[in-house]
Amino acid sequence: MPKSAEILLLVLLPLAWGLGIEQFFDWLRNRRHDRKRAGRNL
Amino acid sequence: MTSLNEIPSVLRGPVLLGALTGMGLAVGLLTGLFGIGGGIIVTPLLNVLLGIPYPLAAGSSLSFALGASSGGWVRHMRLGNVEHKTAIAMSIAAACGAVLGGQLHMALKSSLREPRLTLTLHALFILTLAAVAWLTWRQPLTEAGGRCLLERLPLPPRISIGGEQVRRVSLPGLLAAGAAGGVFGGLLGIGGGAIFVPLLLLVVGLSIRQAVGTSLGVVLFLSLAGVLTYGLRGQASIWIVGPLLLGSGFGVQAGAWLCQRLEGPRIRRSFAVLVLLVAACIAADFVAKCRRL
Repeated sequence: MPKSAEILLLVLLPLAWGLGIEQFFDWLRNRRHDRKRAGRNL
Repeated sequence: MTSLNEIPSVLRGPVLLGALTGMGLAVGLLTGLFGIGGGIIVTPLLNVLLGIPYPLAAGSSLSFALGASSGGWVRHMRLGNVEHKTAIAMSIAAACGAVLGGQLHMALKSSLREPRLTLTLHALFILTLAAVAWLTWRQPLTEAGGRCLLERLPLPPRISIGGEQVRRVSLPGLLAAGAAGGVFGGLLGIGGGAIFVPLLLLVVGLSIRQAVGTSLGVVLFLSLAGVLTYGLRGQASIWIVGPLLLGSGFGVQAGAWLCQRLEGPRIRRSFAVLVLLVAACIAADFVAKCRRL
């Protein structure tokens, strides 16, 4: 793999992982919160 | 691209990947629990525990810091905890400083022979970790009603910053503080959260929430400049960064969960003790290497 591609990977992979995992756990928290609220409303 | 087996370490192949993932998990747990990026712990431990040379450890740790800070920065942006003018000025200065720090690291690498480079960086890490432990152990840094250092600095032009309390701070002073933190971060290969949070609290006079949110933005740009500096010289590996990120992604969530179940002062003091333990671990390696000289 050329050096420039490796550097791009070293920048983009952590950024994508950091932002992605934050979004994923945010979605997970919201879903749990919505389910609890729906359970209380029943 | 460096293959997995080309990474100079005491461990090989899948065992190395497992150790890195475990380290990422532990560091992520600390990030979630104590709110500090972890570069200050990752870089020396990659060298001491896994035998990865400092330049490669520093470059990879900066790439890891990029991932660790990006998610947190976005969250703090949404919460309105980022002081934008400070973040922009300091990020530019810190990124320039990080390039300089990275070049300094490479110059040290070529002028000092091993194990002198490792010993020099070990000493710098021991001093930094001791300072971080001392700052953390003290009473919480409450906002002083008086003027902060950059307000008192007689160096124009000045810019207005701050949300709750507007401050007129010296722009050259702000840039100098950012550049100094950047040089240090680039030299040691750390994102610099442990440096920038106290700096933003004590020197710039931001509130604790703004200091944490703004610091994450500065760390992001410092790490970006650092990765490019080290990466262009082949001193960063995706084989090190990938497992660290994988472990830390889950560790952070576990740490944040644990943080809500522990008392504030207890968390703060536990962190100080942990930082001292890492410093002691580096000091033991320092003594062992000195004896072999």
